[in-house]
Amino acid sequence: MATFEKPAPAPIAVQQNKASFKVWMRRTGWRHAVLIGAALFALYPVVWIISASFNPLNTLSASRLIPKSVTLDNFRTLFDNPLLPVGKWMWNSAWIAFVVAGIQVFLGALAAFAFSRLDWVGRRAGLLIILLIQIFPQFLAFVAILLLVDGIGDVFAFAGQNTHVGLILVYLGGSVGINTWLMKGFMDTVPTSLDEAAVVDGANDWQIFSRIIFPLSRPVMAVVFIITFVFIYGEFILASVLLSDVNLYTLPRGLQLFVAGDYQVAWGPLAAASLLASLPIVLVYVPMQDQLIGGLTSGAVKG
Amino acid sequence: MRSLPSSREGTGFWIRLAGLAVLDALAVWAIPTLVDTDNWLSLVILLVGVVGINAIYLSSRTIPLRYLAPGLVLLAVFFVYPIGYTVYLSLTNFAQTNNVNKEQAIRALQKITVISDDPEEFQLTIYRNPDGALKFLTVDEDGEVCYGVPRPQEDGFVPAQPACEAVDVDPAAPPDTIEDFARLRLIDLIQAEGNITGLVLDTKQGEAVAVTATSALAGQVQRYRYDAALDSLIDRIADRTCPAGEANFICDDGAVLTPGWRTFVGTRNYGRALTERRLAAPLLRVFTWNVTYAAAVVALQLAIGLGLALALHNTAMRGKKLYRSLLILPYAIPGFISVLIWRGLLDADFGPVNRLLESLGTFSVLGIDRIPWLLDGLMAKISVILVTVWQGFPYMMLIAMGALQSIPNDLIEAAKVDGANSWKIFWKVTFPMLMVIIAPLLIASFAFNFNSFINIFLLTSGGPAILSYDVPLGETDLLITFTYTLSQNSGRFALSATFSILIFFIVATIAAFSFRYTKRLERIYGNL
Repeated sequence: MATFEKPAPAPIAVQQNKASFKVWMRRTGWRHAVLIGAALFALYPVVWIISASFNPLNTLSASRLIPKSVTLDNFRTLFDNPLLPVGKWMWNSAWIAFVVAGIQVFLGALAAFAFSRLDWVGRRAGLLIILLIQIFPQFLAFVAILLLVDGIGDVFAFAGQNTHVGLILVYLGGSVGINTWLMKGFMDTVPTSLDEAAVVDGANDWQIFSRIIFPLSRPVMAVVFIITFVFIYGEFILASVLLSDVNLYTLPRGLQLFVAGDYQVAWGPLAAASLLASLPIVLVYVPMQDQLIGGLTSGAVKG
Repeated sequence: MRSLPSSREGTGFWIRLAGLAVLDALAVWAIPTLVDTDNWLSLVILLVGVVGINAIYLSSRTIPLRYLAPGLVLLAVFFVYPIGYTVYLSLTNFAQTNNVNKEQAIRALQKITVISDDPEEFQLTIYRNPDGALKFLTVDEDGEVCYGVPRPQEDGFVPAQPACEAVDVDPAAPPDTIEDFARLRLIDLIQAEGNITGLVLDTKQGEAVAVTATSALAGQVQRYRYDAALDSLIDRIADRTCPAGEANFICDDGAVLTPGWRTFVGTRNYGRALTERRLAAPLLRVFTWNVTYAAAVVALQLAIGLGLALALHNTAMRGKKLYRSLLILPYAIPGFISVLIWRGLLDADFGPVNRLLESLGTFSVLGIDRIPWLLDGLMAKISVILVTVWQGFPYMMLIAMGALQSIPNDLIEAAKVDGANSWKIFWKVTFPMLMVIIAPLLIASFAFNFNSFINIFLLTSGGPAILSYDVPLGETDLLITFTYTLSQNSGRFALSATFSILIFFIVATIAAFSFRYTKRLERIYGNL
């Protein structure tokens, strides 16, 4: 009823003002009230991360929302404490996630091309099987994965337990299926007339892939790259099962040491690490939110 | 579709060759190790795989496989195989205490030594030859002599044949030299002490003399001796027999010796998990909380997300972009980071949240001096739900905004013409249409949050602990954190694998349900 109610006729100015405020409240004002409330809830921890990372009094009990002075000491300790080598963990996480996401984009595109463009027996069944396998969350098999990687390490020491190569291989196996699905869905929307024309011109399968489909799939590849990167960057279980050397830890595994140790005391450095580690992700995520949510959503619906 | 011409020229061909060269080199490298360790099964799998991959990339009739092989190999090795292996593990008794085969367990048990209650006095004389090799000469209380090469103690008792060599010496007066071995003087002994401690000389079957200090010596006795005919270990100290059971040696008096060995136990782990009170009661408790947690998180995320999407769904409003960008932040910050920060914010004694509430006078009104956010069972549950809702509501908001835009406007106009008020329009038109679009996502979100390991593990570590169970369990433990703790802290790998499979069945059921539900909604409302 509310939307259709006409504001009551107002004989005097004060009442008119009040009435139009009421209308404004009803139309837009409540929206601002709700959104400002939600924004406060959303930003509360964010403000604390920023304030604590610059606060020279770096314990939890001494923290204040608005610090009395500003320092970069908390950031400095991240790079020169050999017991908690946060800088190294950031680098480890970043390069592992980068390598996995990069290889994923390429391997996923290869497999998606076969599903989208090539004709072979078992294509539909293959797609369905990949989808079904993906229902099983890979990390549930962490005991078996540990034993497997341990066994691989007996033969290839560079890819065994407590190596980045071993962890990267496990990650590659875990996300290739879902990424193939995402990319296949996109490649299906690339008009086949393009590759038909290329065939007429004498192009072979590799040329069609490398010169037509792969370049045209750049939008989905960006999405797959970022989604995979963010996922691997924050992966915890497999990293903590497979890595045992503090210098090889990834960021999630490493920052857990802050919890295990003197948490209240290490509040400032933890906040500084959090700020540094989330900034790149946030800077990519916020502008690309629509594409990324779209990517996640189609993934969720299909797998 | 059509078949495509293949090529033996161009970059593709050289990439293929280079890849194969690397792969084949790795395979060749692996062969000696696999042969040395008698790992024939792995060797066969490796060779078949490598030959197959070479065939795929060299033949011109396997074009689709060329594109599929890299991904499929990774998927098979690091995804499918671990799933299968997890199923297998769940059918065994594999645990920290049972992680070897029977022969290895027997060997390990036979290595256990004790200093007997009534240690025999030995006289020890140590000899050394010009090459630096050592020999021990021991004389026991009965005057029996043993002269031989000592070995490092860590090697244990197997094979523990007596090391005594035939030698003709007077027990009362050891000679200064035996062949080219010269007796060590005290000063040499002190210098050599580092080398001598930790050495033992096997004097009799199952007994040895160990050097514990240059002057004092103790007789060491092997505790268990394996009797193959009885398939039993004989305990020489407690004077009991320990026959081989199914997976352990179990003594007459009921003592179970560890290590035991790995064995196949069929579906017994599942039976235990579901029926044995010790496990079933905690499992049911975790399961109930796990479902409550995931459902509460999804419901609250949806309520907040949808509310905000409705608030933003107005073309006339200013600052929409800014609100959106600010509200997306909780979702954009990596989960492990925001959880760690929330852990500090919710700290009961020093946390900013409690200090804020205190300064607002909340505590004096309520008559308490703090809220034990992460310390009390119920409050910890509320806290983990709160934090997870905080992380995920922006996702629901974006989804709902997209869904709201896709609802045809004429439907709402038609409802208005029919005289429906906005409340009615929302519940009778907008909300049902919305649910068609986002119901599958809600179920996916439920399945995702069902296993939100990091949130629990980094916020409460599963705690506060519940002490009334035999298994380590906390108030906020989810099935996945419970499973993780069982294997990482208690070393009960098989049981952990069993729980993994059970969790998988729950998730698979949700997925199947989601699939059917989506189909049904599509039939009712049409595919949007």
